[in-house]
Amino acid sequence: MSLAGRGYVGQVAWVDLSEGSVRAEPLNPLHASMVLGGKGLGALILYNSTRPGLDPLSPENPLIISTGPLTGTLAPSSCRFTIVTKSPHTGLFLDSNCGGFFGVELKKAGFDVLVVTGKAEALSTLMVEDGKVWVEETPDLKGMTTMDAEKALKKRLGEEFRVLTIGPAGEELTPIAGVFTDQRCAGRGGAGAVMGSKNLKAIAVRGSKSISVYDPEGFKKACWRARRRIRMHEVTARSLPTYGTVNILETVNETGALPTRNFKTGVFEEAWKLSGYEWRRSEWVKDKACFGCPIACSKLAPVDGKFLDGPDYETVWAFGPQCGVSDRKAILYANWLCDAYGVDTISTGVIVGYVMELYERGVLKADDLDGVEAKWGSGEALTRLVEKICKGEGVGRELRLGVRRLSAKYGLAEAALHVKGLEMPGYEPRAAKGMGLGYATSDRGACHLRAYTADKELLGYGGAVDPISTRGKARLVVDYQNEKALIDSTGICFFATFAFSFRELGDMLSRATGLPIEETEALRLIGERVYNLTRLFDIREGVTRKDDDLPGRLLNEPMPEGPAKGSKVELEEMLDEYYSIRGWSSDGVPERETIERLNLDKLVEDLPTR
Amino acid sequence: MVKAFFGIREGRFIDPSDSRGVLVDCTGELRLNLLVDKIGRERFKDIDGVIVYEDSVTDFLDLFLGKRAPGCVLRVGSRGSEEGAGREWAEKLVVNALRRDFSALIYRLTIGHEDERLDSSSMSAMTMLSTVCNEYELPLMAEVAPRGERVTRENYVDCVGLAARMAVEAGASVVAVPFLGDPEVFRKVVDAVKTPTFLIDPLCGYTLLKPRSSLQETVRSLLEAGLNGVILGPSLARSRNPDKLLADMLSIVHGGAGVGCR
Amino acid sequence: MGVGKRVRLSRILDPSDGRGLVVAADHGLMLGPIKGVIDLESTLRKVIEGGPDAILVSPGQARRLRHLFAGKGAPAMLVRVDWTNAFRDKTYTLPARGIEFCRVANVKDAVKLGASGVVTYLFVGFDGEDEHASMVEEFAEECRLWDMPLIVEPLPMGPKVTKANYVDMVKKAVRKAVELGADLLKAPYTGDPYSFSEVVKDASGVPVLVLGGYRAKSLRDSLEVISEILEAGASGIVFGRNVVQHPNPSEAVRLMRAIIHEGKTVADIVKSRLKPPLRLRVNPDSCTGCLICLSACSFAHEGVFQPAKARLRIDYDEEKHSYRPYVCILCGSCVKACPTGALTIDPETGGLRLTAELCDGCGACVEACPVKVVKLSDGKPLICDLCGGLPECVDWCPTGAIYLEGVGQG
Repeated sequence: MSLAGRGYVGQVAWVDLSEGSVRAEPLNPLHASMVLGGKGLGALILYNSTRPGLDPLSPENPLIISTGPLTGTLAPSSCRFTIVTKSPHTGLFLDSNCGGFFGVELKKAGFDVLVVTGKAEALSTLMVEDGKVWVEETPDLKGMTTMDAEKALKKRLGEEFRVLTIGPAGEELTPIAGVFTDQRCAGRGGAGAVMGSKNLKAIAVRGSKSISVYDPEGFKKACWRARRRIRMHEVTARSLPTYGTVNILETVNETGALPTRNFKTGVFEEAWKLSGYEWRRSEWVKDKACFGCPIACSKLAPVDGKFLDGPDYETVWAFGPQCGVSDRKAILYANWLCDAYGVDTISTGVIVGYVMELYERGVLKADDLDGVEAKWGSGEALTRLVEKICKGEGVGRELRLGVRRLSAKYGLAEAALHVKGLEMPGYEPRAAKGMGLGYATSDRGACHLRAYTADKELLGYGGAVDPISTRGKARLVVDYQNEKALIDSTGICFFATFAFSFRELGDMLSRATGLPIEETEALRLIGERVYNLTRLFDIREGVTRKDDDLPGRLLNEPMPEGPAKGSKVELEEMLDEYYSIRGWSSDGVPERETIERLNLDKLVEDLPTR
Repeated sequence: MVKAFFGIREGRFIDPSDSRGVLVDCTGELRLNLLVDKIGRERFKDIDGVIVYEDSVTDFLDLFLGKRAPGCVLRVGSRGSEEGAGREWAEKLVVNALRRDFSALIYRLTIGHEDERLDSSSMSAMTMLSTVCNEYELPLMAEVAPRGERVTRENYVDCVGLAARMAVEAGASVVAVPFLGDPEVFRKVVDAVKTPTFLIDPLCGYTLLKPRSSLQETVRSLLEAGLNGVILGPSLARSRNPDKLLADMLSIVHGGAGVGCR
Repeated sequence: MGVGKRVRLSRILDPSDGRGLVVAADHGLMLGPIKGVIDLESTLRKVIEGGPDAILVSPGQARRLRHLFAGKGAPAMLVRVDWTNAFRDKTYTLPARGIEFCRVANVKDAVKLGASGVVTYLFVGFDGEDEHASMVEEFAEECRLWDMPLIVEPLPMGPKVTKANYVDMVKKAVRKAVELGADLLKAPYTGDPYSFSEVVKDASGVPVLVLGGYRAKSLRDSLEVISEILEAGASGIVFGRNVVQHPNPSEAVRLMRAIIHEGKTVADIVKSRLKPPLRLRVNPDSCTGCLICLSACSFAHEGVFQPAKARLRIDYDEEKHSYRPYVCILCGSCVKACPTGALTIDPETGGLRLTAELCDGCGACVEACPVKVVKLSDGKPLICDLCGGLPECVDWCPTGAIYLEGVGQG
């Protein structure tokens, strides 16, 4: 039974840049029925095509670009695709989700998934057009910013092409380099470096094929109902469209969970300057949507005569409160630099915050920083340091390696805010314990999206939950992680799902694909399966309970002020409960029983021996 | 005419838009089943309120469903005045009435007995009722029909005036008085009580004075003198064309704007 | 069921069809002075003009505004007897940090007011669940004593509620409410009629009214939801913000009545508000470049998703980073240019019509189109036929960048 024309296109393209060969394979329907697409399918391909200990920057590390069955359809916000690979930053599983128009175009060009291995001889661009895949050398793109490279390719090939690029940082194999398309990005974990290690500057696609579904009338009705839900929900109809993700900033501050000055505290006295209201009033000039999205959370701000797509909440936080900065123009410029040179804003901001703390404590002086006086709150220091990190100039060459590597050299490990090497995003775990547990147990390192418990802990949607208590948090984190893994495998955006439940999602998925996944339990199971799969990858790479950890500051230093004053993260007790609920051993390894219940033994070829 | 404040319960048998109502007493000569037989279910719906005993609602429930159904006024038997009408009796009555969602209670106050203790116990029962009614916000209608031995044709009007005023002072919120002859006399009584006032069907056996003109004429002239409405009983029971009589009453009382202001 | 309860319920659910249109106006108690309830009396007067069966108010407002409920033409009064902070999410003052609830009135108070029912929440999905159920049980007992209808609002709320289990939690809450003695339910819509009919079944005969939630921008969305829930076996609605925050509350209620009590369909109502000739209009400033219109158009005509098959296009100006939709302007140039008469204007809808057998694929229409929305596909032109009267692009556009001339929002 083929899934072609049922949401899926039904084809996977395997490209080997070393051999210059391309192989198209039909999408495995069994795999699709068990892990859907997007993150799930990418994870399965990654697991089965790599061996543990692989060097992420070696040609063997596959760069997988995976769309979902709903990508490109009338489902709300059906723009998403996921880049899956082994991270050069953490050495572990990486999935980096992105919007825009690239994933849709890839499907229209005839492929659900693109798997790129090997290494091109010279800096190249991979071309995909209506079923044809080939590689062209494009040395002229070397050193170009992501925007310039995209523009150049579109000029050469045609405006209808959609382009994925890396910036100079990716070309230089920077571990925090991301992959960009139309100013949206798959930022975290260094996917850009993987692409750079393959001498791949860009991927350009154009497609004129059509995407079909299994039950057109039923699917359309299901999409309409989901769209109606989105219109009738405060977050998706008002907060996000008006203020983007920055809409939550003031509330996060009021709940004492806005990490300030490298997580020294959770309250930023100048947060009001960075509220969504202020951004909309002073900087943003237009709303911008990804493909198929009625929410349009992206905002455009003029920077240097051009238009910057941003900043979003995490970027505002990373360059703002994390560094004590309240200067919006500085934040905009820093955002611009990162987008242009192709690095992750979260990691960059956390690095700068760490540097500012080293400076404050005298471990680093201005001389060590090429003359930058890295004072808290200095917009100038921020932009200068970010520029160095982006361009790899001077001390930037070292800083761009991330806080884990930096703290190995400079110490202050408790102030190196990362988990498993991935820098920590903008929610204070001491003021939202569920987020803390989520950070510690996320499959790619500290990530706020795997288990976005902030919606209940800080924002009070669907019933407020005491953020400081650890009660019930393990259960919440497990449920949320499973659900997010499922959502990331469908091809629609997380934000759309704020407005509806798995009922509507199952309706759309089953009518698009014809797969028996209408029941919410079927969907939940897929999510649980995918999350266990990525965990197995990490276990295979040597992750143990010790790595499901949080930095010392969050475990040992009580929160100094705010509603969470005095709080520390009681990680161990939450972790015990978490493993138990998950059906994992006390060392965090999925038990045999769990693996079999989820049929993972049928999907993966080489289970970890632990 | 008194346009008093209308709560929800009052508004179920007195139309708030004109402060008028046509009630039908189904506790005397006319019973509920007989009434429905005579005028039909459709016309029944046009009545503002009916006075009934407790069981009537249960037995004819479908007549009382929906927002437009006539309001129900529960008649309190005078038994209470013999048994020693204490608080417990009144509370039980009021609570039961509210459980069944009655719109008001109606109690017949009697005065003018040779044995004044009978006057006093009637008064005390009514007072007890009105105290509890006011606590529970259930309107109490006092039907004033002096029947004692000391009541004569000559002092009838004054007795009615006295009883009506006493009832209001004790807390009744609506009064029903018998035909008193001259509309001007009637007006004086209304002025003295300052609550919505209804005319008891002149054909009722326990009223003394009978009008010379037709019921329609009588009601029309009394409306001008301040009447809020009429309680029909024997007139309807004995009428050759009860449907027409009722339609006339509704039309006259609600000011000719069709059958009541709906 | 006792006489009193039956009589009171018959004021909420019209005995002629067993359905009820209730408007909720108690938000001030839970959320404070939100739009629409600030001058409550004035809003309610407008609402009452539309003819609701009942209105839900808080005890304080019930007493202040009880004159609005007097008289046989007036709506029945429903009184809320409990309070909670649970709905104050981050968009409100003092966002809740945990779920709290308490009693604000006794059933006796509602009886005194002349109310026809009392309303209480029942939350399922948090640690205080059992305590909450106890409070509802107390109300149920009081309601039994007074023969007053108990209306329970079962809601999933709290940390145990997730996207995956939401519908199951609704069912669980509904069953619990029925067990505790609810006479009527005010339940959330699960999103589609199939899953909701299961909820209605779980209510085991207790009538279900559906709550409205956050206000939809378009009245049509509310009307569609009403249609669907009736189809699923619900008995009516309790809509709050969708009525009190509407610019014309009496019109909103009137149209909802038409669906609930008068058997009208949403299509009846939508069509009746469209006055031919239909013209598509564009507001480029509102366009976010989402391309949903292209997907909707290609899907409606070709059954597949391929923006290139749409009968309209979105232009992107990189310098200004702005989008502009180009739609068929019904200029008739393509009709004039067509040498075979294959292209005509449909007299009923005013849109273009292609008689495929007459078309030889010459492409003159493509050349002639001033806005360049006609293109050839498989040798035949793709032309805008206004979707036979209800243009899909207008329906699916999230921002109103494409709209119908003469038809406002809502």
